[in-house]
Amino acid sequence: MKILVMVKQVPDAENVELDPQTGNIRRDGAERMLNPYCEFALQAAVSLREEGDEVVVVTMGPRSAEEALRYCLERGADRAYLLTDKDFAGSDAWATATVLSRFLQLHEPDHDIVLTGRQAIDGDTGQVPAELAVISGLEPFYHVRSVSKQDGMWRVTQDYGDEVRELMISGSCVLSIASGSLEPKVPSMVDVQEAQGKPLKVLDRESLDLKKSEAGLAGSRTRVVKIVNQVHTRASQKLQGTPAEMADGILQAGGWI
Amino acid sequence: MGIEPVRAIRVPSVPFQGIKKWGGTRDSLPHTFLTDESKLSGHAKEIYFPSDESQLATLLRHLNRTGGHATISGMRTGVVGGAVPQGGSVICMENMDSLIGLGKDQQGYFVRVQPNMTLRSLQRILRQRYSSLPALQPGVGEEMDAQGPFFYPVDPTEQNGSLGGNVAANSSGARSFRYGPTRDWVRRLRVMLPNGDILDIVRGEHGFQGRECKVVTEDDVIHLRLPSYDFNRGVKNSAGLYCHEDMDLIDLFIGSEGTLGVITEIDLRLMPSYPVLSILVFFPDDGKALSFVADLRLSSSIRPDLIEYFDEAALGLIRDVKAKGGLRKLPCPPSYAGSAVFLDLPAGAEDISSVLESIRPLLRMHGGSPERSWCLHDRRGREMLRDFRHSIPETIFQHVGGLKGKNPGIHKMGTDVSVPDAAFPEMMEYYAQTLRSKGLRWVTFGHVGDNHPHVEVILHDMDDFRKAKDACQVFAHKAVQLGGSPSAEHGIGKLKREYLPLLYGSQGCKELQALKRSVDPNGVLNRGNLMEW
Repeated sequence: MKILVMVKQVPDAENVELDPQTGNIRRDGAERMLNPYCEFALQAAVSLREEGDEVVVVTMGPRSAEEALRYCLERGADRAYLLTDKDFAGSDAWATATVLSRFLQLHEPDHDIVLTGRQAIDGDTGQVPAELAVISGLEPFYHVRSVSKQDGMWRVTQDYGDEVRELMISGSCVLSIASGSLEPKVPSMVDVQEAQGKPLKVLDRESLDLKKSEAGLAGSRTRVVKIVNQVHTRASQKLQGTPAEMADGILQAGGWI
Repeated sequence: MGIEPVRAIRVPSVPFQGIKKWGGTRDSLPHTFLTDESKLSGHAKEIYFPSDESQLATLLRHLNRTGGHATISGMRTGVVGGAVPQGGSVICMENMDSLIGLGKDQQGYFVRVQPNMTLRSLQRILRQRYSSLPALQPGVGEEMDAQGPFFYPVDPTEQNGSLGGNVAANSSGARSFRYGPTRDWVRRLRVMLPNGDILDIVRGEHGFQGRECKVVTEDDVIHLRLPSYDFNRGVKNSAGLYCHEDMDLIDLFIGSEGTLGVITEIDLRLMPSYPVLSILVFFPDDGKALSFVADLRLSSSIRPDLIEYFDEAALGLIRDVKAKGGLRKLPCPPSYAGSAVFLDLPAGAEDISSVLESIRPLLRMHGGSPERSWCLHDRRGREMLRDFRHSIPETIFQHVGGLKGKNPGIHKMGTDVSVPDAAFPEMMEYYAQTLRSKGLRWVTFGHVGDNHPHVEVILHDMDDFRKAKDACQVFAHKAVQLGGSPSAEHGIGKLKREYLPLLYGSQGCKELQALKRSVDPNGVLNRGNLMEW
């Protein structure tokens, strides 16, 4: 069985700087990390794997995204692909899904399932899983909490907050993994050392047989026109008096009386 | 170094009414300002929050005039009661917590901060683009961007501690094994003397001639005379005032626990950061972990930045907290782990494998194995391992805090003892024998690289507390007898004053008091720290 995991490297959430002019995240020089939802997808993939199975991680990004792939290789993935090309820069969700889909078709067509994180914490669109599925002719499933194999099918738990659904799915599909364990999986010295020797293949636009117009800014269908960072200010008011008087004060401040 | 008198700078006073103040009656003060991580409880009349040197000078002059005194309070993360007031006022430095700027001198880059900036904030700042930060000289940020990133190597486990507190206590941490304590990284200090005048001291510019130094203030000349003892520099040590002949003036204030002045600005040296592998290796039992450490210290090929230790009981403590649903973001020690050693090993991306290979034979020789380990090299993962390490003292602090309701006098009881290399096995054996004979439970963890693990007694009631207190006293005696320090990094504060006569005798303590009185004749600052006032 071959389990594909699509991951993304994002700026470290603790140290994000925003460009005051454009509202965009400043990526130059920022520290990076694996998108936390992609970590859940990796956890799901590794827990699904049985003897003889293979977990393959894939990312589209700059050369530095190799760090995120090594991170996954140290935590149970067997092989990795880095899809990188200057022509991929500026890809929106659609262009990203186009690149990933072409990769699946040309390089790993015999996959059994594709796992992704729910969304990347930098772009926050959550659209790539669905668009990847649509372009690849697969069905997407969102809000996935867990997946296991049962009778040759996928048993998938979807968590909608107020409702939990159990599904049985046949054939390959795209699962958007929304949750996982917060307790970190910690690699051993052996895991780290072995990860150094695991295959990591780098593919560019040409090796994915993509035209310039299909990827990057040229292949994107959306343009972010403006991002406004909303600042919420709160005014505080100190209430004094007896409890009854202060309760009245709360009602008045809220406009209820 | 200059033997000319050092001139203090007069800071103008400002209207007293403009200084933020809380209190007036004892009951109205939040308890958080009357205690620290030692959980010792104090009392005070009021709390002042100066926002700059002028306000601080105004306050100190007011106290001198009115016969008052104050305890300086930063983030109150100390564990010996240094920030716990014993009457008088509290001067809380929380409004002086800014970055002043990045700078450069002949020895390299440094950062200038106000005293209440926390270590955590500094670490965050050092991960930003330097050109977006204030600079003391034009172009420094851009230069640092080109050569960075940089880091501040001293790493007291408590990341929420203030840097002023770190300097006042000469804090150290796990990485002191390689990089020494805070003292070694302080380039310059601005210190306000008890009379409200400022000393601006750059390391290397002002020193003692023998044991004498003259400070000229606007209206006085202060003759500083160092005590006749020599501070033990052979082991990790923060017990009492640093002191030796011809020393740098700046070193008198570092580790002086706020008894001689209030720190208002600090320059800390930075160094270029490098990739590091953080490794936690598990062993079947405590003896094997300690024999691994002993051999590791002798190794010429493996040079860790830090060596930390967790005994079986310390791992058990983490397991217990996790079983109750705590520490959710930390991994659980594996069931096979009987003890652990935590190492930071410098390793570039290209030599991860060779670094890991180099340690394998030693591991196997002592019953460990590379499979039975945790190994992380991304920043978040490494911080997680540090949090794992820090979860032990935090759990103990919380546990003791929870006992205070029924046992108001209780506070944590642990050792902060360091000894010379040769005496370490004897000291470890002595801890175990003594505590076992008293029927106490304990955990041992921490800076084994500096022969300085913390032995913390798990208290249940005042009976345990009294027994543990007795034990800590005999540990202090034993440490001194073995050529070590009874207070390696926590300082003396109010809880460990009895250790100073052990080290310096009654004569040394008298000389220490005389030095304090020459600088602070009215006892305005931090009464009760290091010595009774």
